[in-house]
Amino acid sequence: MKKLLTALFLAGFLPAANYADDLADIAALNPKFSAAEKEFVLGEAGKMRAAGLDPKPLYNKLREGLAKGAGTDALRKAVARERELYTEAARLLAPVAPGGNPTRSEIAQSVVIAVKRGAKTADIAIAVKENKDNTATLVAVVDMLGDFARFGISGNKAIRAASENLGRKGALSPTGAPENRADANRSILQREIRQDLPALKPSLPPTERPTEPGNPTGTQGSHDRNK
Amino acid sequence: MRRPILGTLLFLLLCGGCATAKRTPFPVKNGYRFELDMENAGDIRIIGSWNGWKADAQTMHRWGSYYWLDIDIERGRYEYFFESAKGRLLPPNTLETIDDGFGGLNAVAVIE
Repeated sequence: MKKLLTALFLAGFLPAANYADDLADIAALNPKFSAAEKEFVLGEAGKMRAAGLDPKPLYNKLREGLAKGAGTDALRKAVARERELYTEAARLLAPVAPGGNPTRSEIAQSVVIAVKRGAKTADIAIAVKENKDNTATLVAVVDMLGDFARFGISGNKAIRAASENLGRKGALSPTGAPENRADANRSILQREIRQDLPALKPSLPPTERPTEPGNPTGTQGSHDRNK
Repeated sequence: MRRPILGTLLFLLLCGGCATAKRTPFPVKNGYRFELDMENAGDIRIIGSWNGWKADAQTMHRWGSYYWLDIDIERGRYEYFFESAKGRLLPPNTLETIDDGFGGLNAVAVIE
């Protein structure tokens, strides 16, 4: 019983301790990062954890802001905005059963990226409803909603297009690996580059043109230097 | 005749996979190449989400106005920007930019 209680205590305490260390590292690298800001970020991280999400994106946003030399207000605003986006994503993902792969935090990240790219939350809610039992497909559909939103396509049109595109790509294959001709071409290209295959090396221009009957110098047209 | 050939070889050496992909970053032998063409910019660093936005991590190589850096990064979607003495820069040939939440934009790199 004692061991169980210790395990439960550690399970609850350790993640928070790790995040505190994470934040301590950030603060150590940035002397201007005050105790008040640290408290604020820890509070936002607590809200993320309460929503069942990993608070790492908040720390990343904080690091980004510090790298850009953002002031205190801008940092707070950006971190709070990021937390709002993630908690909204968690609300949208409520019908999805916890656990599994991808994790809820990973799906939430896809949702947040799609929203930042202009996808509508109503569209995402429909995608969640339709794919709540297949999270890999859900992530693919949400990604596509983000793609379509960039081109101003949303609503039923976007959802229908995402489903049709997924059907063509075979993303619902048992391997879970989305593959289409473009993906295949890209992977072949990358493999060839890694293997340094000659197919990708453009051939050098010939130094001499072959001679033809009646044209012993091999010259032609306006490039004829003998003209 | 020798000069054009030397020029072509130099271009191929520097530009790697330019012929196959025009967007930055594009795959090269040892990872992905990020590039930028910028006159009189001095040293340029690339700062991105793949290494926790470390501001002093990666300085780009330079040949005249052409800057490049090959980075071995895992699959995923990353945000980044370039920084020079003149300030923050985004590559003009990036696939996508996104609001950074600080009143600016980040370039987006999708590594597949």
